[in-house]
Amino acid sequence: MNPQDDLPGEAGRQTLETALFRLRAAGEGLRSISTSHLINSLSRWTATWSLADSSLRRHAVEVLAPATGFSAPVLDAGLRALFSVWTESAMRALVQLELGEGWLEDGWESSRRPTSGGHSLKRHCVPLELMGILLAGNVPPPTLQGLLAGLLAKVPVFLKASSHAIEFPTILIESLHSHMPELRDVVTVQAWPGSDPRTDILLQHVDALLVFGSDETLRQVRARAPVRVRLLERGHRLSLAYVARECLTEAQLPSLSERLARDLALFDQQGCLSPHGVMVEAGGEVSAERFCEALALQTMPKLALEWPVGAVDLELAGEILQFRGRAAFTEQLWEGEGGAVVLTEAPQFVPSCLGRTLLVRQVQDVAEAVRYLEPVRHHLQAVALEAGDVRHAGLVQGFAAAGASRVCRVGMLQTPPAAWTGDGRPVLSELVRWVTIEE
Amino acid sequence: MSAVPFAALPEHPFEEALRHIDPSEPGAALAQRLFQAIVSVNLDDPDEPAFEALALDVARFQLEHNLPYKRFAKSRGITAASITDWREAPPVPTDVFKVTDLIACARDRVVATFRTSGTTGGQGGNQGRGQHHFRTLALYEAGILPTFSRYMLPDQEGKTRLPLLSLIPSPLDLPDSSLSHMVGYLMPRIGGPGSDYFMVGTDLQAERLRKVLEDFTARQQPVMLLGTAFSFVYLLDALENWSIKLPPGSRVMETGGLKGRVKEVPRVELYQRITARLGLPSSMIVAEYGMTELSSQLYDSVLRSRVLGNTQPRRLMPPPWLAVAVVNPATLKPVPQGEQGLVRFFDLANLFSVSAIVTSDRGRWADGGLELLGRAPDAEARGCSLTTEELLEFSKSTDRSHPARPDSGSRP
Repeated sequence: MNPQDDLPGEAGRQTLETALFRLRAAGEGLRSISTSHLINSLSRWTATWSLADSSLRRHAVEVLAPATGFSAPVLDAGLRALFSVWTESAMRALVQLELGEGWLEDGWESSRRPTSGGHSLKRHCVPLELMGILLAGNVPPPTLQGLLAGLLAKVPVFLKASSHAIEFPTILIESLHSHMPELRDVVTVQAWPGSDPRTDILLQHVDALLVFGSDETLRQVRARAPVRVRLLERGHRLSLAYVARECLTEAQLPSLSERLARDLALFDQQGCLSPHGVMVEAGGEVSAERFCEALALQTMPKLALEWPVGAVDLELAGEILQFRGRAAFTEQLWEGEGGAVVLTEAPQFVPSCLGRTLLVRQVQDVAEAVRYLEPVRHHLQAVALEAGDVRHAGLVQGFAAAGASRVCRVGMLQTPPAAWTGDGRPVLSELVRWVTIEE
Repeated sequence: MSAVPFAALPEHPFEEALRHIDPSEPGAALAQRLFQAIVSVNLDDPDEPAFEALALDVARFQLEHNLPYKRFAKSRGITAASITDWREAPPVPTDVFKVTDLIACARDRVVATFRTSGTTGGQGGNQGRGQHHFRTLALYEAGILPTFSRYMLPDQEGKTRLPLLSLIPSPLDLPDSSLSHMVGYLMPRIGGPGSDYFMVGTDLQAERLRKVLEDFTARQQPVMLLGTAFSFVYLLDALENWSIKLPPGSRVMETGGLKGRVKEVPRVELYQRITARLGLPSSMIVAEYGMTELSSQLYDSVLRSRVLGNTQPRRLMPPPWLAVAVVNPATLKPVPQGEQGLVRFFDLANLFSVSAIVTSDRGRWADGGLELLGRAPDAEARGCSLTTEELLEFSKSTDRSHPARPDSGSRP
């Protein structure tokens, strides 16, 4: 691993090309590692990060807190939650789901299916030789998720970090190399500004590129990528919560609002799994106003003592100030030490300004919720659903149709399972070439 | 467009304007006191205690008579009766002008409304445009000339009037633009022969301006060009491969931000291009900062500093009736001098709207003036959550009913 931050001109280009050639050459070694050994080792590595007193995590928090603005407790909790889902069984389930049983057994044969003519066909998967990951922003999950996807598919990984957010990828890779020296040559990270021509060099070398970023970033990468490169796009997204009327009771309110506040506070609402708003059904025992007040003035301030609100740059601070200012004049606003809650009557959803600012909208039913969410149909990531057993399945179908790639329980937004298909698309199965053999 | 005859310009009532306010109307006496304070101010030695006292009265008046503002303040535990210092008046974020009518008088007494330039897909009842309503323009107009003269014309006493060549549309073209109103106010009062407008709506008449500039240069008659940063970018692009050395004493008043517009050019780069193409030294390029939400303006100290022979770096200087502070966005309290924060104003001339305003502009107070800062360099390092800006871009990219258009040139 050799993080090169902003090496200028020819030196940067040469360093990058050298790294890319080495990665591709090292792929054979990675492919020769048995899947079981790989999963076993990787899960032991992730376990060291998720231990209660993990020194790796402690070190990362010390470095990342000043660099990202997140408070140390938020980072600590976020990193622990992130690594804790990548257990051995979770990785095995993911691999089995996306690459098939054969991959787990290190065989070529991924699956065998009888055809209608009485014959059978087999599917083999061949790992691509090199993948790149274009990271954006300072939220850690995409880095780990992308890295593990590549390694589980046995594809060497080149991580391109933002010049402003190199710390986490660097720490992550250093710890991986230390834990699994056999992976030293198959993962590397470098950083450069988005406009740097090195991105074009990267695109010329990789077989697949996992891209995180805004629509504009995705558009630019699409325009520059050679046709042969598989682009796995992960755009900016947002998440929401939905609380059915049967769950809006005084008895459930403390637990519900605490779980929601934790979903909101982790990474200070800056992740694609962070909720921007909550839709609450009309007709519950607890009114929308009571729900907002409890959340903003009781739960969120209390949680802010445990998970302090992080620092924000002046630009975002200005946006938050303006957004909440507008809300103060046109909606109902509850503002406390831990953030703000706006009870809105807007006919169509508008994203939050972030900074732990949650929009609450009362709806009659899921049909109204879907209409309300229409502007973000193409940008919806997850919906945290709190509903009784009887109606749960119907509501899930509603939000799946509304564009969500994940439906989970309130309080679980920030801990997606390893097998989650972010943005509604699998990753592992896109990192291999499928070969169909008819017999 | 041919020159607008001065006689055709709307002569906004100046001294007379206040006579239209019934003396029994709330705020009438205060307006009179403010008007007197502004027109009689000694800018070299302003009467600070008098402005302090006026500011407190203005804050109390607005907390009583501007009903949305009264409710807003009350929700923060502040009332007209409770405050003892104008600094306690809660500042209103500028975006509120887009969603609420902030008026400290009856709606039917409003005599003028200025609007910010529009954005497609904006929120609120004003289609995303900020609206500033005026009960009287007298206070606004009373402050224009003293500040403009102090910073744009510090070397012009006793000299022939400079022709004002405006890249800002006339108030006849843009009646709801505060910037156009300001230029329309100045032109007949201080503009020399040949003063004219060279922007009609979004049509920049670059070729006509080129001929006029060449003619003035041939006669060695200095001129003043006024325009938004954006209009200067367009002008220099339109007159590609053309340059001139304007006569000594010529100057530029540049106003308006570049952020978020169709074509971004850093201010330093723009000034370098103006110097190279128009032959003006940097000290003759003066920035003006105004907002639709304000009645008063700030000016770059650069020209005045040169005339006075001091070494103050470029700073924006407010008049005494406009208090400026750089504040912490969380507390809205001033940060120590030299530190960055958001810019907060208290504009006494906003008597019938709201004086305490906080912007999302980043700045710092140093060397006796305001330094505005550009976009934060680390803005790209945020997370992967969708922003409103991105959603608007997405909506525009899928909506063919709102084609992109160049900025109209009205204020930020």
